[in-house]
Amino acid sequence: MNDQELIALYYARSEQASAETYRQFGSCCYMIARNILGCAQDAEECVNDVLIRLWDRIPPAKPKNFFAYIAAVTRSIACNRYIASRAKKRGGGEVALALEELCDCSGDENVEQEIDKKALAEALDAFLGTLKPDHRKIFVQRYWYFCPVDDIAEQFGMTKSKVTVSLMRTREKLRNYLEEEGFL
Amino acid sequence: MKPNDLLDAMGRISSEYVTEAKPAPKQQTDARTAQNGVQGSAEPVTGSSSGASVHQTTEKDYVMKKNTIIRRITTGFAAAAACAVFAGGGWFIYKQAQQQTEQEPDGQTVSEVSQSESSTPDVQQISTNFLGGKGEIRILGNGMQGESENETVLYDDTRWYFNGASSYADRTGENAGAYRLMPSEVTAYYTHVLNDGKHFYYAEEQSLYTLEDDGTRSAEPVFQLTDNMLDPAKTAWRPLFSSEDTEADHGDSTQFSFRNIVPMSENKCLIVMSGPPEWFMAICDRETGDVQVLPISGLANPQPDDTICSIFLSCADGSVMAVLNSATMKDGGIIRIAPDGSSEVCTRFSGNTNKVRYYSVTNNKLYVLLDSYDEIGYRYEYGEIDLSTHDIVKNRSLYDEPDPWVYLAFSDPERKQDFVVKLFLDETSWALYATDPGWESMTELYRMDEAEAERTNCRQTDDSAYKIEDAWADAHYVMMRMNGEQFVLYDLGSKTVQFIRASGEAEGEATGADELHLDESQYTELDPGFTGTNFLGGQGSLHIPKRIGGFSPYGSCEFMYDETYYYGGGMIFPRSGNRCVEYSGNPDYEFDLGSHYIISDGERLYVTTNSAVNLIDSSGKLTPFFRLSDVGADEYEKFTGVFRIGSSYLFYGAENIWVDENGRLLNVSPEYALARVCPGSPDDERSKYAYFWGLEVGKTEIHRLADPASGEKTLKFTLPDCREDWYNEEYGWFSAVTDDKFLYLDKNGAFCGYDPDTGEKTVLLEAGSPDAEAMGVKAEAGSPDVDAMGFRCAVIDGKLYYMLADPYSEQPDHADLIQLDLNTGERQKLISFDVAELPSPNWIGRIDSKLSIELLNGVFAYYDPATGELFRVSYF
Repeated sequence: MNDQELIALYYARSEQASAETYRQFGSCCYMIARNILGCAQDAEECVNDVLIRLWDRIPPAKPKNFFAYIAAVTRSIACNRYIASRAKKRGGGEVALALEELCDCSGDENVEQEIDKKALAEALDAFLGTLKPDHRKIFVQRYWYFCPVDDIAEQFGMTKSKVTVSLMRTREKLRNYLEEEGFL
Repeated sequence: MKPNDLLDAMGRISSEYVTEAKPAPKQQTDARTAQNGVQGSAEPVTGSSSGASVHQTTEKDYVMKKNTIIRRITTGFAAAAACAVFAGGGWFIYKQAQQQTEQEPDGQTVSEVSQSESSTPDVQQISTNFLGGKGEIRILGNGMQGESENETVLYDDTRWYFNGASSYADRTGENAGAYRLMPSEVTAYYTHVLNDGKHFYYAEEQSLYTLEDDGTRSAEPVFQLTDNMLDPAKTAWRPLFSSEDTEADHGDSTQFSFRNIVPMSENKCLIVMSGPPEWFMAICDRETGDVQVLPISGLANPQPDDTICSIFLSCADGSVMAVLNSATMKDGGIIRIAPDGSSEVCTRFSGNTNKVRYYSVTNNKLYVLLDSYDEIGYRYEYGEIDLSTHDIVKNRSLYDEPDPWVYLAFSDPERKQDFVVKLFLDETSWALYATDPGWESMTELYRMDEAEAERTNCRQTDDSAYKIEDAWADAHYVMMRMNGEQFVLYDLGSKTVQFIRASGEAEGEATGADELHLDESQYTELDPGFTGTNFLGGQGSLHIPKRIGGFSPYGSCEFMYDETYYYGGGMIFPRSGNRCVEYSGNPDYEFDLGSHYIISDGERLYVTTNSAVNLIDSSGKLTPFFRLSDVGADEYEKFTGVFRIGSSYLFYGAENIWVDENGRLLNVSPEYALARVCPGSPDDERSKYAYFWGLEVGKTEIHRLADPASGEKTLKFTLPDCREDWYNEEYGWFSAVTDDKFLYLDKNGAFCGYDPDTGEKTVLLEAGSPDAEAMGVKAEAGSPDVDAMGFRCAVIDGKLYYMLADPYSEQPDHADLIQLDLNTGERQKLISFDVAELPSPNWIGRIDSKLSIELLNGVFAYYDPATGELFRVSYF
């Protein structure tokens, strides 16, 4: 079933929509949520929340790229859960590590600077366009999907250290890029 | 810039990059991945302690979990629809989602409970027992009675019952292993029920009746407490237990209630009653009805203040061992009560012994596991006492035992088999053993350690992992409670374990059902005089809500009721008076609706079937209203709502079809999205207007559709200075309608009302005010867009309601429900909510004449502005 057919099911308010979504994307959503939350049970609940959110949002939403949409929803819900769990000092997964790594290219945290988030996202998008595909995929897997370095290495058939170096260099490039663009 | 900003920006990168980098799902060996989603489902796994059979995540796992998810979707849909949109009428109150499962058709209903309270059960329901399950009710025991009376585990052919029949789990089927709440009526009924390990009794005031599994109770009580029995002159128990402080009148027998029934010899049992601070014991002969009031003697120098008899043990020789514990956690002992009423002290505890965790009597030896507390902390002591000599044969502190040490011991009710649970010193592992009474020879049955916990996805508690809190057994099963609502069932025959778990949602939520606040005057009786079984399976005419308060993007008539059920969101809730008692699955339609809904305009019900939209009455009789082909709709068209506006009918779906009262097509408006429906009078006008606008971002032209049959034409208007981002990825704001105005947020940030007939624009909430800002919502960090389905405000009878977080605090800890009178401008706070229980953004909608306010964890608050009544409902 392609994206359009799937979305048509949502528009028809057919329960099959959720079932099919779960069949096609459940495991990937779970993985994203698990990476972020670090807890299987929270991740599973997160996937459930994602399905409910999709049911609520489609219609009127009509995502062009269904996978990207559901992945974004999953990331959003999982991040919110992560923040909530951090507030309660429990749980947590790769996000904390990713945040730590991103300190390399985020400048001085103490400087209060109003960031134009939309502009930053556009800049980031443009930056990603300058990267070699493999480096970009690794970067996105790490900081969008919050995949553990071990898993990325396994996916790309690399050693862990090679992935780490790739990430480090990309962060360095990103920092330079953001400086050039006036974000730092 | 902070790392968070970067992560946030990452969340907004092009979907192209997201898709490109999509990781392949791991075929992982992560046991939790595999098992986690099976919460609430049975997990038969081999009871091997090796944990070797790692269960991998496979597509099959996800498919297996699908039904659970779908059920939740349906539930969520019901909740959402109930909350925000359709506002058709009163809603049901129901507090537990663990019950939102499909009930077997023969499940316990209130009427059955009523029947089981009767002495004459319905012969046709003889196989349905008084707990609502099927077959003989059997009792798992822990060898002792009393302390855990309310936690007795029962089972029949279909279910397990826990915690005083307040919860249950199916034994087989799709929902096997899902821990759910019992209907509150059944639980309430069970508070009258006692058992002696073999038989059930029904207690009513001071009388005790025998009770059969089918709910039949004896015509005459087997025991009845009389004031005569309490005469101190005839009982010698009082001096033993009383002190000067408690020398109160105890002639009022109404103070006493039944606590325990402990079997003795063939027909005799020990009946224990309490009437704080006093206790009463008698030996009763079930055959002859003879009662021997017990003078308990022999316990020298008791602690009188608050000594209580807490647990009892039947011995093979017909005697009963009773543990006298002190509520002050000091001193106590065990006495032996013989069938002839004589008693003797077997042993006394001293110091800080506070709990007998287990004891048994075998071969004239008393085995005791004590739970003590001293300056070091809790510790467990094991003792073995010769009942002939009263000599302590063994006495050792288990705290110093080598790894592992006995943490819990229990037996089946007939005391044929003893078990212990040993806790390993790492306190993360335990094992179940079959044992001899002296715990010398043990056979390990099952071990829970870290690997097994991972494999079976056992939840850890904060302080202690995988611990067993309590256990019960019979000749076939051992049931162990881990923590909270998580149980492990060990099948002694197959040597397998099964986990019984709550769904994991809203743990600790309040249980039971609230009173339904239903204003019947706001409902239309569909077919007055109809008394038969209606097409939804209930009795009598369906009642549908008159008042249309908004529109439902999900369609369907969200709330109906008849004499026996409430119906909402595809679920049935059996009713008892104005209570809803249990979710019982999807309505059993007698015809195939396919994916269509039953929809209502407040006066009539419609269904789409046979390529036509039909009127349907309570009996299920269909009367074609119009054929889909006649209005240019294809056979797959699905209408999700219908509104009568004047004498025409607007069917809302992928296309908006407008027909007259004869079903003839008047108009089709496919290019617009329904924004709001303005409710008319509930009794005559029905809906007054429907407002549409395009789904495209930035489009602010509104079409107000009125009744063409009455001469009113569609009115197109543009909202003056309308903020265009009514819904886009970044921001959204939410409209409302009154009888004559469309409410919206203008580009300056003011919340305005616009009267399209006069062109008059009125500022209702000033730009920049926290109140006006409350009408808008920004996308959550990392969220792909704003929640377009959110409703931030509702109008009831000319008053606007919305939630306002404390505007004077950067981190508000509460939010107020604000009422704004749109005519007078009077503004007032009504009630406050802790922000910790509010989602952001939260939904607020109208149900009947009440407000429905979304809270976290599937909970909704219903607030009646007219009465100030507030109550909470949980759908999960």
